[in-house]
Amino acid sequence: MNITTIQNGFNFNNADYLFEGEIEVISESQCHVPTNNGIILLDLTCTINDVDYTDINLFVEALKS
Amino acid sequence: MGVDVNITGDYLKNGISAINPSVIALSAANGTVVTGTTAETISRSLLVPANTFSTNGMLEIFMRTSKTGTLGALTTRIYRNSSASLTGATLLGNIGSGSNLFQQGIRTFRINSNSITGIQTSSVIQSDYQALNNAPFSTTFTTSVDNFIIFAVQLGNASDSAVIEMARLVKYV
Repeated sequence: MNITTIQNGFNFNNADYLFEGEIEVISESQCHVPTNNGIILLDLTCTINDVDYTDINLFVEALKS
Repeated sequence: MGVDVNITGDYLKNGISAINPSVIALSAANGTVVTGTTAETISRSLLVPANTFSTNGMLEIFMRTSKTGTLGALTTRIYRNSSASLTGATLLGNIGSGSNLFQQGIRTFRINSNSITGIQTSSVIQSDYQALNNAPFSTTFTTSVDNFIIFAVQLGNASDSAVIEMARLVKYV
């Protein structure tokens, strides 16, 4: 599934989420993202703005950009 | 809108039990054994069918994890998602995270106005019968659609193995 970045957050599965805290990397492929609607688990199976990532740290940086 | 059926004292309304409390879903068989990875992995998921809750109610979630091996830590978390997938799932609770071979925990959530509220997810504890200075957390729980409650485990060392031995969802309305 694709994640589309928006100002101070992202759109995923037709819902907007706004960041509320620091993203935590929990494994080599997964992260916990604190948002206004709870902590969401995102992983490298997702694309960000239609771009694939294989490094979770680069994935997190792209999510925040 | 369906047929109300009374069978030997049981009562079904539109195919969903109206007994209070009632078991929504239960499994006492081992879920998927997680080993060979340190990624958070689904061991068991249970379905809360659409319209199990109408306006408000309580959802009690119970689970047990067991681990084989002592090379690393064990973490058990509970999530909610519209499908049986961790991708995009919302964290509901962290039952335990440590050098444990056994983690058994319970959470009671309030379902109200298409939201689910409970003890803050930062609380890594087995029971939410607590008095804390944190406000309850809240996230979306649309009652008119299927919701999956996901029980996931994460190993600190991939050579260990862990499994959700049993899990149960109970409804109070």
